[in-house]
Amino acid sequence: MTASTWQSHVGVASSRRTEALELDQITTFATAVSGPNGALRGGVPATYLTKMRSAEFELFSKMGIPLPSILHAEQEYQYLRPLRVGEVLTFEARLIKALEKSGGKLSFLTFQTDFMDTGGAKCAVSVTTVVVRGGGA
Amino acid sequence: MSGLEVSAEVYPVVTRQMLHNYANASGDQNPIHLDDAVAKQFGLPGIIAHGMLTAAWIADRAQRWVKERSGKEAAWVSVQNRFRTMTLLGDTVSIGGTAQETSEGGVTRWQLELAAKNGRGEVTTTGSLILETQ
Repeated sequence: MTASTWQSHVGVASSRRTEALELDQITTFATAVSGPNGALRGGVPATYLTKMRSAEFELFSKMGIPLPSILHAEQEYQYLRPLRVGEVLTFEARLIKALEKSGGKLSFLTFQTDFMDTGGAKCAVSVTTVVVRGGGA
Repeated sequence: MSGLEVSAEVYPVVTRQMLHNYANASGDQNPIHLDDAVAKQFGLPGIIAHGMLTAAWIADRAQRWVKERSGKEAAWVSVQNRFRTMTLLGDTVSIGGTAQETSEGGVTRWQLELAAKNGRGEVTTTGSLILETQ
């Protein structure tokens, strides 16, 4: 498939998902990403929302893109306020852009996931750009 | 405005166990990070590290640097990473760069531009990070 084929998926949303920022999972994550000075403790790690990519993965699957063919090109997180350990987030993703490069051999797909708190307020946004190799399969 | 220096720090060497631990902790079980045969099937030299693992290390460097500089725990405002080249088993990255500090109304905003460089002199990942302290 080429990016132009994926244009029809632009704007289509994933299902809405709900997950909690659980302390024990955060602790496991912080340990797994420890640097030379050990694990950082306290708060929600800056890249922790990578754990809430199930909405994006649902779209990859819907779009027929095999996971191993995907390389991560860019990732952005915006925090409208600090996230709290223990809070529950609801999120959904949508494809917002599809670009073709190298004569169709590479497609750059950008997905945005909006995270809402239990009050329905948006508290974080994730923007993920992946590159899919082998257009026209 | 000139930049403050964020000195380079070396992060742990990438091992298979590290990638398994990160896959479990993050939920990213993409086999290109875990299974050499699958990685090669998809045109990779062997398993590669998750880009987001280096992104987490870049955030670690930024958070620690701001803590050292300000004495305070910072809140995250935004993080943006670009993944330029792959990180392989046995690679180590060194992370450093520059920062700018601006204060207004009791809030200090820290804007850091960091890069992770591997042992071959290549920039594998860049990070633009914004944090705030009060």
